[in-house]
Amino acid sequence: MLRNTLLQLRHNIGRLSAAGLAIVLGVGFVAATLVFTGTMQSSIRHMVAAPNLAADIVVTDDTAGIAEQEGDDQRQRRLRKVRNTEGVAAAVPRTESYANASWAGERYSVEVNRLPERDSLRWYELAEGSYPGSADEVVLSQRAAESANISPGETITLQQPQYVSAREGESEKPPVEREVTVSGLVDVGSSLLTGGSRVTVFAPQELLDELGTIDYRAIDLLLTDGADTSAVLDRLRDKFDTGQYAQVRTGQQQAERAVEMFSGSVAAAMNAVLLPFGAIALFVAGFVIVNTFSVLHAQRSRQYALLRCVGATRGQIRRSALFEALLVGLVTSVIGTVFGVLVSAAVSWPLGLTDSPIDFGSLGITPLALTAPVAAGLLVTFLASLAPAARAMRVAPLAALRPVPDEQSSRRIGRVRLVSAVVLTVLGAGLLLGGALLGSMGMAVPGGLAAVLGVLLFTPTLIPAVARAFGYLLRSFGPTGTLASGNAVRNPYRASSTSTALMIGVGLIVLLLTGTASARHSANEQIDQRYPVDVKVAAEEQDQPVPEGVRQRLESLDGTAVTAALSGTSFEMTRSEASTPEGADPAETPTVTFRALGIDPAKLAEVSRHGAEDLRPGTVLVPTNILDYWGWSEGDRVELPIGDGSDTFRVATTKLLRSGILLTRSDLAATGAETSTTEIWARAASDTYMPGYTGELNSLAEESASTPVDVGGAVQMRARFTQVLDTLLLIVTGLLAVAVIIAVVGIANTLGLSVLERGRESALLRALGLTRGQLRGTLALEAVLLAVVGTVLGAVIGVLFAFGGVAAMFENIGLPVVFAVPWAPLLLVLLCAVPAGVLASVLPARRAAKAQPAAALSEE
Amino acid sequence: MSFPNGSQRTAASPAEQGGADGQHGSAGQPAESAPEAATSGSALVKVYGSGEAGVRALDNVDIGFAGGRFSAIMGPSGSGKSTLMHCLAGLDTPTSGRVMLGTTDLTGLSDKQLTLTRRDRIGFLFQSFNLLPTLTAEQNILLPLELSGRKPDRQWLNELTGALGIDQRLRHRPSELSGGQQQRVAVARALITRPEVVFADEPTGALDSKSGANLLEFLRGSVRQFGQTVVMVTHDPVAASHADSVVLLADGNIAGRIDEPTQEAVLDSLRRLGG
Repeated sequence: MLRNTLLQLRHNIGRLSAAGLAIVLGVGFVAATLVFTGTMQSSIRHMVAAPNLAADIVVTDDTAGIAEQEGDDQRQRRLRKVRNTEGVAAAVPRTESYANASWAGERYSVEVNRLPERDSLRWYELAEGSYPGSADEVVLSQRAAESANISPGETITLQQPQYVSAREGESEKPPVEREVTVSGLVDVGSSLLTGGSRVTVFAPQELLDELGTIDYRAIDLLLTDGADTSAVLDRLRDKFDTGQYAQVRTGQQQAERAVEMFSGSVAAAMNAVLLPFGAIALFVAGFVIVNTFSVLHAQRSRQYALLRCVGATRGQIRRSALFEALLVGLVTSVIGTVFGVLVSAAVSWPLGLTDSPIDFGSLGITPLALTAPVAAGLLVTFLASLAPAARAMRVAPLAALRPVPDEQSSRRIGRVRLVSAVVLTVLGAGLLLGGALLGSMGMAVPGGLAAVLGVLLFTPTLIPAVARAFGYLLRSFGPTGTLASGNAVRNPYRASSTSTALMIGVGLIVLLLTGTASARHSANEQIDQRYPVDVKVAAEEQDQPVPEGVRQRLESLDGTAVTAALSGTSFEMTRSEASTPEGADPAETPTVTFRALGIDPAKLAEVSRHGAEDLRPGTVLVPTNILDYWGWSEGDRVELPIGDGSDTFRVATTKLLRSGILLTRSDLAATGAETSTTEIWARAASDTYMPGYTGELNSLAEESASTPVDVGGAVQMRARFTQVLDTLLLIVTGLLAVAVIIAVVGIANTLGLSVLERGRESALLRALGLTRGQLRGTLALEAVLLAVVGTVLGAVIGVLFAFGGVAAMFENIGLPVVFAVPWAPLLLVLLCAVPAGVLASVLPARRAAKAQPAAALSEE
Repeated sequence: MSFPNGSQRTAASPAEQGGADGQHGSAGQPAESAPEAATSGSALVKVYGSGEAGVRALDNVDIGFAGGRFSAIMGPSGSGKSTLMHCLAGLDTPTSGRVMLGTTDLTGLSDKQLTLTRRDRIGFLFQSFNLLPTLTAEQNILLPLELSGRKPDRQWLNELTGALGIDQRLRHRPSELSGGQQQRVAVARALITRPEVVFADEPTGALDSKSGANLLEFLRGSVRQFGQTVVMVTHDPVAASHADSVVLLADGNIAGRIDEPTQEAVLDSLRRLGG
């Protein structure tokens, strides 16, 4: 029996290729995910462990930065204490600082670390150039430096950040600035993905002293030759109250501790995001497998019947069928895992996780990453082959004696299945609707899942029905269309599982498209509500005038409809006892500086989208945060010390600005305060995201480098939000594409197997005068029909479910429910179904057209 | 042999239509080109495989079948009779030699030209009926016309299906028809284009003797009444005895010819070939 199974398998190996490809893709996805996240994990581990492994002993403070807990003296005393311990050759504090670095006109915030004088404490390797020879030379982390386009020999400027100079009580003095030369690059092993996207500067201590050392969290110790590590550890522990501030560990222990703190987190989070897509891909692959084995067993039913005639039991037939499936599953899963490892190696390299595309040593290949995908592939193959095997088992021995096997398999959907499909669909849809109306995700999610399950059970009836309806359209293509539509639904189960696979993939993509479109629409409305002004340009430094020409430049941009200049000044106000809200500490920030902006009400009406009507002479518009701060309420009359004296204004709330207050231009002028043009507001031509316009605005901000300006407002918010959504959508669609590709392979598979089954029929049609082109056209139309049906159903279901989900989610978080159908992407998805179907038919059609009519017709 | 009533009716029906059909090309053409063969092959060689393993299925065969006649090709298994038919019908290309359909040389035609020739000028009948399961009986019959984009001649369809006794079954699919009915649908499909030649490959092989006899009588009737040319391959002497003449084939060569054959004469010749 076993030998017979293997022989059959060998005989049919070609027919299994598409199912095999589906498994390889699905398993490969899972394996690639596991290996890739494992690689990231080990890369991060390596990164956090490496600095500790260089030291013999590390003294750390686990609670917080040492300097912040203790004064400078204490810090020095501790360092002296460590250095005076017997057996310690060197103790180097791991000091670090931050600086604003600038080169080639760009500004970056960088971490500045002490470069230990002792070579053995430098845990990184010099990759290019040399180590610094003087205090005005530094080395940079290699990968980040390369991506930021700095090479050895170039000069960069390091500027002390403002908060450092402020902390040191030198706010009067300008921040320290140093020009330094990059002498070399060091390989710190971190990559863009593991937090290495920021440039790290390694500088001699002298430079750090000048820039102002912020903190050190650890002291690295080197021991004298022959010193007993555990004895030194004991001595150090005696000197410190280790429970409170300091911890003393060997470098190895410290490394392990650092790794422990990272353990699992990154890989687990990424796996949780990526693996569901692998599951979807495998689920879809399951449909392809079911189809393959169903067809294979149907073609073999005579052989099975013959085996039954000569004495094989039903159990033997079933075991043979399952064993064959498991063998196929095993082989393809192993191939898929290898493929997945190769893919992750190819992906890891450009992301800097490994040194080369064949650097398999650096890949995080864990035993789990090798076994889990194979197990998943085997499980899916096994489950998918259960039903076909059960059908194979039921072949009657008598079937062997029948001259021609029954062509027509008019199996109808079972009654139990039909009832449960209807019940699940109705119940699920009801729950989803209820969840949508009540804003309950707890109802919507299980409701949606139940409805999906119901629809899936229903597909053997639904899909042929829809295919028949579309088939009528095909009639206009003449006889090829008639033949194609008839062939497509000839075997309802086969047609339905073929299209269902595609329906799932497309459905998920459309669900996401619709969901994000609705989210974008809602977000835009929220942004419009909260940001009535599209564009606000102000000098980066407060109260400075906007440079000349910025307004003209802004006005000249295509996306700008109208601009307005605002005059501004600042004034100080002291919180009096009377206006202090109850419970607040009057001593806290008693005097606050405020901005006051003035604009002509008519001009404001032009540049803002709403809220302009509140601005009247004698009124001051105040954002709610300032209103709360002062304890004012709408309609209060308040005295404001702007300009020479004090004027009284009526208070109204506004969303037009978030800091400062707004009054009419003439009211501001009347205060006698000295004003300048501190802000330019503009209204954009459209209230939707305009990629080109956003780019122009950003370059506007960069151009005026002498007096840097900030560009804010609704346009920037819209751009930021849209870009984040688009990026997420792109990534998720890309991940789902694997499932769609498998589904298209499934169409090719079904078609290929049908072509084999219908060999005689094709030959007959060729004899009767169907040209090769017409035959190919028939198959292409059949594939397109299956693809279009799957896509259309997927799109309809995706949109409906997205509406339910969006309604429930928005209602749940208290946002107004907005539906948006993403027509353009939806149309694109539908249009893609046609070329996908044609593509899927290419190989089967070639095979069918190659057959000589005479050879296929001759009686066997 | 006694003919059942059904067969009388089918044989008689075309006779009634015969006069009206006289002007149609398909009836007139064979008569005009009577001296010329409707289908012929000269120096036909067909080799399957190559070298030592090569099998010579046809070994330099010269043959012609006159128009308006019911001819049979007979021979034991492996004699090359099916290969000969496939070559003549343009389903297969001979290794060397020439095939003529009327005045058209089929040997030089491309696949597409051959396909169009088959579609418009040749009809086929097969042992296993070969109807398309997804199409109704009527759609099956009209398929060759549909493929060429021609309008079906409703009157001709009614005549054919009426004569064949399947006019009540046109809306049924093949799986709902008996074997005899399916083969009659196949006959209607073969004749609907008024082909120059109908090639029949063991047309009675899958039928019981009564249905088989009916079918052969109908074919014979179509030759008598419309001047249809029919070439039939068979190994059944009873079937062959319905033909006007029988060509005997053995080992890829023509081994004999019997005009106005009887069962006994055919059996005799076959026995001689076997011995």
